[in-house]
Amino acid sequence: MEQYPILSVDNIFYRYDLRDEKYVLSDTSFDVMRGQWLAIVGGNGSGKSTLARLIVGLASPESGSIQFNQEEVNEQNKQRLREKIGIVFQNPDNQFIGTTVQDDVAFGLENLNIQYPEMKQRVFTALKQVGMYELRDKDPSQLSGGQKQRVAIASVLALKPELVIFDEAFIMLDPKSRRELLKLLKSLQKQNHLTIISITHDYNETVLADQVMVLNDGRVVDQGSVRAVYNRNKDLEPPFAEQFRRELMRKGFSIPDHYMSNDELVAWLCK
Amino acid sequence: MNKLILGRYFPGNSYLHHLDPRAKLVAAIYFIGLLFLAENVLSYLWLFAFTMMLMWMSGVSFSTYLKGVKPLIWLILMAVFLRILFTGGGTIYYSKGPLMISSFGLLLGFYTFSRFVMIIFVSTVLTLTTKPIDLTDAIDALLKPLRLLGISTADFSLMLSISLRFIPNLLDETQKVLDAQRARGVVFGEGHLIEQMKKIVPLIIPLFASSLKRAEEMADVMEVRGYQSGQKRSSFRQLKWKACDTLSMVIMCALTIGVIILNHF
Amino acid sequence: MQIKFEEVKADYQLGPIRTRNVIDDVSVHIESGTFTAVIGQTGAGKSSLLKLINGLLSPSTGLIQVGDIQLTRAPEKEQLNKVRKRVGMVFQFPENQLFAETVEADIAFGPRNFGFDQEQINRSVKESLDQVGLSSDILNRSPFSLSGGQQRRVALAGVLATKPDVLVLDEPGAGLDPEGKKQILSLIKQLNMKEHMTVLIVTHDMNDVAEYTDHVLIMEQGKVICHQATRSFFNQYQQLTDFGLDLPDVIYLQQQIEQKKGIKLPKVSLTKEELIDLLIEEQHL
Repeated sequence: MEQYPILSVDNIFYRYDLRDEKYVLSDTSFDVMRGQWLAIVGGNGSGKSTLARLIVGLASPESGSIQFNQEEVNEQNKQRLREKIGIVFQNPDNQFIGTTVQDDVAFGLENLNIQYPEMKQRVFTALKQVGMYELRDKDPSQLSGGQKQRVAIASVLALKPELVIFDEAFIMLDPKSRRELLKLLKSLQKQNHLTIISITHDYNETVLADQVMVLNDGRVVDQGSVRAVYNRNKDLEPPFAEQFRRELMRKGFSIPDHYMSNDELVAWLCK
Repeated sequence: MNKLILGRYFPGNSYLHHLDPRAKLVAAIYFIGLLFLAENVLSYLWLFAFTMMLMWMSGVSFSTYLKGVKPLIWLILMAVFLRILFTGGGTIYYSKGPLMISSFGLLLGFYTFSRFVMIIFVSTVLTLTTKPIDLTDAIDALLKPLRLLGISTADFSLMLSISLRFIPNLLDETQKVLDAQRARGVVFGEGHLIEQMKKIVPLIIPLFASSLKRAEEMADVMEVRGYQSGQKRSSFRQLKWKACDTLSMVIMCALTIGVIILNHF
Repeated sequence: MQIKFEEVKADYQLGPIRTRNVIDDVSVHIESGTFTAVIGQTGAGKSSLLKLINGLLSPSTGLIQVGDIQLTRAPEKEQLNKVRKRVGMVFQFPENQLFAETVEADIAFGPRNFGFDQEQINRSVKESLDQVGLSSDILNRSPFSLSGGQQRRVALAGVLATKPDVLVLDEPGAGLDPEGKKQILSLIKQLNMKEHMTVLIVTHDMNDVAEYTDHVLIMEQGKVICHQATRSFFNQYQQLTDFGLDLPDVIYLQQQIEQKKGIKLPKVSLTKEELIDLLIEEQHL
């Protein structure tokens, strides 16, 4: 097994404008190991989305470094590293560049000047992975929000990335599409050995992660397992079972005072 | 907005639908040039017969084509009248100052009218049977020689295809903002001109704001998917030149020969 | 204010093309002061139903009655103006309709269009800002300088400022974080409880349906296929799967407990508190 992290964010500072007093991110450091799923949570204005932009090279930190596979991300290599780091944004409509599903997935490959036979094969493979192959000729007006986000994921997968960032990518979807897409992510993490960073508010998403990181006011305030993070941070909205456990405790029941998953709660209630 | 026929695509399965967009675009441009080569009524009729055949082949009803001419009819009539009034020669039926009605003028008026109508009919055939995106590909292909001069045509055609892609979104959004402001008590299409113009503000500003946001987000998406202006790009959309496309070029040649011969009668 | 649909059909006309009926023979009676969730898949006709109540879409046949206002095939201008004043409509992502230079001017836009005088406008701007829980120091700010959640509240205030009796909202919580969503929905619930506004919301989230609404209306292909009280709707929760709907978290938990213990609780609980009380009552805690 490899010993080094796939992504290593070290001591970064960032502000929109050098005249601003306030830093959007200050002294932010964390590592992500290969194949891991890291969920980043935090309120509005905590700097989550800015962090995502820095990792994919849409902006550069004022100081500190971001290393991908032990290589520092800079102006010279960011174009090359972009193939390895993908990102899916919030708005399903605004990230659909092509006129049809398959054109959209091909866009990134066209930019790499990949020749037609290989391109076709990579587009079709990616579409099959997200379950959109049958709909490859459709245009965006014929697709639901969830389907458009599947296409966005396929567009990223076609570039064969090692790390994919989901920047509140499912917030505009209905709960059902959201759940289906999360299931898809989990299987991609396993089958494609994908490393995932998901920026989210949704507790259904954090419980799938291997690690949760809490960002507050541009600083990393906590990082650990789902269990540990919800135990330590009582102001985060926890999964429903944990909400229920806390409600029971508040009403004076002698339920253990630590995080409980759904199954654990049901087991305790039925003992 | 919904009444405009020119520029619309009608999904279909006709022979014309299956032609390569490059063949169709070249043929349409060539045909318009050919219109200026016709010198007598006979050659005009010859070209008109060909136009009618194309319209019949497209499988779209004749009334649809007439609807395409309708919004432009005043413009055409104006051009025709100017032609008639300012042309002398032949038998003069009436004259006053520089204005006159002559047999030559009437004939040229007829030519102008036919030319306009045929240009509209043929371009309508082109857009009705060709997907906008295929048309973009055809334009891209035809512009390719410009690359030798160092002009980046890929950026231009990408811009064209992205604009096409977002027209339905923009229409949707317009409808939404329109509805939202109507729900807040605005009655559009009422009052005098100044009042009407004032009502546009609550419509334009939200559309402008959302388009700006959209443009920003899209630029990000394009950048992270590796797009750089002026780079060498491959293309997923492959055009295939088939025998029927070559045949259509041969037909254009035959059409030209017909015009040249008929011009002598 | 009660709302009645009598054999309503409606379609959209695009130039010469008419679409199939987006609303297909709907007869429904929504009682005054209720909070109704409108549920259904994309294209089922939910938004069209809301637009009909507001006169933004007119029926091709049938009659819609909002209070004492009647809307038919070709409604008169005064009728439309009246109904739009009585019915406040909040579209999906309503912050996209903000346009004025200041928050104050934007909120005042509706009241001014409906002919409020200056004094009434000032008063209603203040009141509606209060209703959505924003402080008056943002009145002079540009709406575009606010956060997403604040923008949504300003847009909502702009609708409340015309003093409607009915509020129809298309996914008011869409795109907000859980905290922001909870705030907007509890605010709407307050309006329903305290000011007796009749509320209809389009939503996909069954947790919200269970927590906030008292009636459920399910649409499919332009028809209303179910209209009943929220509690009795969830009581037969087996039917939710027939409609392709999720169970709310709390009912899901209750179901798991029932299965594991091999019991059947006498009713379904719509909140955590209810489930706890129920478990105590039935001596399972």
